[in-house]
Amino acid sequence: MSKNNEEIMSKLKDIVEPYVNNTEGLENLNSETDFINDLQINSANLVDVILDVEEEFGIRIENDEMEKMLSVGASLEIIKAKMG
Amino acid sequence: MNLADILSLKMNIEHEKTGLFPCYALPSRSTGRPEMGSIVFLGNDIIDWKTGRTQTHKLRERSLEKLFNLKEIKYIKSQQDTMLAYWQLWSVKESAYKAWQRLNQTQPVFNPKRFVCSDFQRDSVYVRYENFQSKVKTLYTKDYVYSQCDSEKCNYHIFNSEASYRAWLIEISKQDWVLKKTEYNIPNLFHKKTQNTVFVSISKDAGFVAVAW
Repeated sequence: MSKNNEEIMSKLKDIVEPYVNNTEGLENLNSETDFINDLQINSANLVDVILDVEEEFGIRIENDEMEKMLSVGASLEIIKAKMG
Repeated sequence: MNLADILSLKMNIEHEKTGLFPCYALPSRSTGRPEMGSIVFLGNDIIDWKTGRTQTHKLRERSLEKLFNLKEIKYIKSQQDTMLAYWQLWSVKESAYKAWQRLNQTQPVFNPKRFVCSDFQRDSVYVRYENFQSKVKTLYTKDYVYSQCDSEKCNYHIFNSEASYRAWLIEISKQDWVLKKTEYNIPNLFHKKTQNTVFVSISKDAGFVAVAW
């Protein structure tokens, strides 16, 4: 994984941690990790994750981008695309 | 007679009488979607109020705008208890989304703004998305907010703990009913011997487990 990807993943891990109900999923975090199924993040907290991502990376995530942000990998791609 | 007995008996009696299961939506063997002409909307959501009432950060403009349109935000702000109104509309959208996802058998998406609320009342709201439309009712107790797509044909039960929910799963498994999820994580109760399926909607929050069927 590139350094840039690693940095983003590390920040993403910090962002989701407060909302995670399955710590094992967090320890094994990878691009395939799904927020709801693997990390057992309550769907009501997904919007909090997205707002925290916007703040951390200085980006704005539109609704059509948000609807796919259900995994670490998908989030990584959207963040990288928005950061340019 | 405990809940497991009631559920199993109801399922068996209804099937014998009508050839259909309590949800009156026999799934097509090929697509898994309900057969046309027997559509029922099944979706629910429960919010633990003890936690929910403290999450006032969700009432920030940025947070509201991600989930709700202007009319929905206006409704929330017009209510005496804005936090309660927030959770009403959130749980209403979540219930509608679950029903829509089951009807369309699609992978999960997260775009609550797609589901547009109207006809706002404290205990019911209409939700629309493209050609999907459902009335969603909400009930309030001192412990939780519970929303469910409105159908006289649907039943529900709320467990006060994960343990009691798991005990119920064990009970019904003795009558050969097992909980299975589709590739899109949509839950169904499956009878191991007859291979029949009953649709269920499950929602969990802080120990509360709401099951609708």
